[in-house]
Amino acid sequence: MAERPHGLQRLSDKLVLAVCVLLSVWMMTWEESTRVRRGAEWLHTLVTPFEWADSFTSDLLSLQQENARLRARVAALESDLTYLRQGQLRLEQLEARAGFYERSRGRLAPADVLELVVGRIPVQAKVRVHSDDSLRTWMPVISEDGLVGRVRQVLGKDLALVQLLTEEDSRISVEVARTGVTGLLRYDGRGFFVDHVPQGDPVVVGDALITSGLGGTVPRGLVVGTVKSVRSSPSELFQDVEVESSVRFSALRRVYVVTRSGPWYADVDRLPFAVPDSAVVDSLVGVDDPEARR
Amino acid sequence: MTGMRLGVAILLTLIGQLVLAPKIAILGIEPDFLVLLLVILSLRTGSAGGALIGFAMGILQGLVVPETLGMDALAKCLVGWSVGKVAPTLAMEGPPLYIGLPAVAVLVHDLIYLVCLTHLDVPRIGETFVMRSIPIAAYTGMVSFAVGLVSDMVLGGMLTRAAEARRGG
Repeated sequence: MAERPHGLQRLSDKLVLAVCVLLSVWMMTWEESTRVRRGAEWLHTLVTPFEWADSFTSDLLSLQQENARLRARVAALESDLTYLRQGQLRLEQLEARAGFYERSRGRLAPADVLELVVGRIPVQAKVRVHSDDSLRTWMPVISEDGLVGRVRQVLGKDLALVQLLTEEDSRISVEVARTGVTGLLRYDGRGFFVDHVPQGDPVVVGDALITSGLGGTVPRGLVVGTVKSVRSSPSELFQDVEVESSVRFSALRRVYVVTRSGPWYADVDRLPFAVPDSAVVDSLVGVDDPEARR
Repeated sequence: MTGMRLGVAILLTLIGQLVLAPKIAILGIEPDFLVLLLVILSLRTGSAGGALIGFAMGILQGLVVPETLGMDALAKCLVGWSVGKVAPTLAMEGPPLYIGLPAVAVLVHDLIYLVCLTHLDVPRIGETFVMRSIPIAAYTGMVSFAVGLVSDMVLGGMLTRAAEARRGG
């Protein structure tokens, strides 16, 4: 860099000094209150970025700590939630067995099967109920797998004769959970069938069946079974709907008498049976009986 | 020296003056780190640079005690300018440079400052000058000497090199 001429440099030095001196003297001429106020303002301006940086840093650190705390809290709560869900499930199972009120299924009175009246298959069961609830005729009886039958006769304070679904004159109104199509469930010695389902009503294999509540004796929503096959013929008035029950009637040991109705299954999603998806429904046309196909 | 490094140096020295100086005070007399830094920087930058640096230092110091805003700036810009101006003509090295120049700078600085502060109240200036300024100048000179020795050992003679640079040596 070229050196400035000596004279110019001296002038520049003096000019800088003059400016600095003038500014200093100008500040000294201010009233003391003005000096204090402006000094505070300048100091604030000078310090603000540092304060902001300090605040930002401490905020960031506290945010990180809070985030770590919240993560730990979430993990602990998730663990608690899992534990509580398992506990709730156990509680519901125990309540059901002990005859306490079950939150979504009304009141169930556990009962031991004392005797099965067997024809080709069991058609009636004599049960002893472990509950103070009074028994009445036509109270529904269920097992963990679904509807078993109804109380046909009260034999004593804690004894009852249950008419199983497998008795040929048993008729219970059922509905397809997915579509609401109703019909009458009967057993014909070979299997369960739903009568009075008009042609064209939407029923497909795999549909879950529940009690419809029609007739008044059995509440709506009890699981009955799934549709095993559907046969429709233009020449007939109704469809032939065959149903598969999950209940093993020959192995009944413990059942539950529904002594008070509750809301039962509030929605289809809670049903233990798979509901066919729309793709399956769309692919089904006409006769859908595996035997008929053969 | 870049503006950023200069700003950091001034800021650290100001913090040192506010925090460290009271801790090493002897009978209430503190060394004047700011004047010491001003002397070093003025030796390196010359009179114009010394005036500007002194002015900036004075303004910063004035913000801490805003009642005296402008007085420090005036005193320091005059000291900075003077040191930058006379340093090349001084034939001093070693301890006389380390002790003498900062001590005289402190005395000149305090004199200007006291004149402004007291509005030329001579008895008060004299009393304060004797009771405070001279001890401060002596203490600053001693600190400067220590700094100079350390500088010679560690930094290769910061003050000496600065003075030599101004002299064109």
